[in-house]
Amino acid sequence: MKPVNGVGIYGYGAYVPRYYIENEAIGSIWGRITYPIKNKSFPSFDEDTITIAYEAARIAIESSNAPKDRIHAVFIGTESKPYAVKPSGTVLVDALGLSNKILSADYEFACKAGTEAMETVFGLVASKMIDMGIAIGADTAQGRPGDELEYTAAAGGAAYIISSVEDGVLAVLEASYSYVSDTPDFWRRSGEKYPRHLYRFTGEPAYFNHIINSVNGLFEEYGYKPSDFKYAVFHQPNAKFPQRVASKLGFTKDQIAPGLLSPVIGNTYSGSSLVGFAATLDVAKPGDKILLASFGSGAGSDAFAFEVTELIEERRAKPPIRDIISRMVPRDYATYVVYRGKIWR
Amino acid sequence: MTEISDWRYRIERYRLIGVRCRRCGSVYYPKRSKCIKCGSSDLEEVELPKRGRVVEYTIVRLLPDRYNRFHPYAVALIELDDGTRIYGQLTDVDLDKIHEGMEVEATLRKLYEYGESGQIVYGIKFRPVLSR
Repeated sequence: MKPVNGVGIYGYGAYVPRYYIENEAIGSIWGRITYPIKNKSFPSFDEDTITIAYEAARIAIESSNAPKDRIHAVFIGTESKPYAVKPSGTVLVDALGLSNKILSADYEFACKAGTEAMETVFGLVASKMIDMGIAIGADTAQGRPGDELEYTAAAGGAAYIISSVEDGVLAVLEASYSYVSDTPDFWRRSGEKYPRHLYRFTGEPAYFNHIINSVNGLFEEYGYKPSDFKYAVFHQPNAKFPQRVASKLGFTKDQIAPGLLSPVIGNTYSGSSLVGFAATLDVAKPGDKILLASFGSGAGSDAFAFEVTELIEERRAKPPIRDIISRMVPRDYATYVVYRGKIWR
Repeated sequence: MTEISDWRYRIERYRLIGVRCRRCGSVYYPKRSKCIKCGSSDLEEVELPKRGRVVEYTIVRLLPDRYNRFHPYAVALIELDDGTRIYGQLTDVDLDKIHEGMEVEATLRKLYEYGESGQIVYGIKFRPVLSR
């Protein structure tokens, strides 16, 4: 997909909660000795997807000095909605002081709901139906105690303000490509607290197949090759998958290094590739091309090609996400269980 | 507070909206209809600065059921960057490491819930600054 009218990213911000738990601390409870990552973030008892989305969007607005009265859409991609029925974005509209003349909805497509929200806002802005919009991917992901996912299901999010290139953007959207098929690698039925998954099935037919098809589709349709990109960011369910898919597609370790955060914050689900993209924008220079490829179980992948502009220097997120990560502190399994609401007073 | 009054106060709680006395300049949060210092009823709404410093604090340990998941917590007297002093909850702090002069900034957090199936009420809390 290629917009007829130029669109891109006006501002961005990312956030992860203050707390993390080491995989070793989880493994010591359940008798496991090998781990998919080192640490994962988890939300404080007073945080949820709405407050994480607020933090990311506030940083995006303040860092780019975006005109709030021209923002006419706020979409949140998440699979951990605080309410099953009640939109999350409405709280953001009032809390951020946005205009009430605005579109708002929650998106769900497992871990790629955030990039779905981005694609929608790109379309609305490119068609000139709205001036600017905010797309957010944020989650406080669920993992059943003792399950494989408990080691990686984390919390965090990122927000992207999208505008026409005429308004000045820090990164231009050059093209995108989406690939979707009915692949049941991971799901959570209505009313269920925790998701289920098909273990090793999540790799080849789901994660790798969909990302490889979306990225190769982008390359074939628009003539890109891996060496065209200074950086690449892939969805990060663990530490191994994004590195392996990068290698399979012909990207180097250096290309993915700035955005690879899963070893220290875990899988932030709808926020995962978008928080990694924010970390990459934090170090990108004008003229750099960045590949972003999300993955959502169920399954699908959105691949985007961006080119960074001179405006990156004045609109970088303040603080950068790695500074936010550096203030994190460890907590034990008991604190994690209480903060996540797994046991109640 | 009820769900209805929570809704009525949401904007001032979300954005730290107080009032300033047009006659003597005194600033109040939460909002009030009369100036305590000069008695004027001529007050205007103002959005207060989101950063400040802890002046004094105390730990709250006993609260109604709706706060079940949210205590103990610290309440602090905070001097905002414009000199206005307000009371606010602290979050993302170790309760034994709070100190006078601690630099804090406002963020949106859950304040309390009306049970597992009831409304979630959000509002401003203060946490140590992410960056200066």
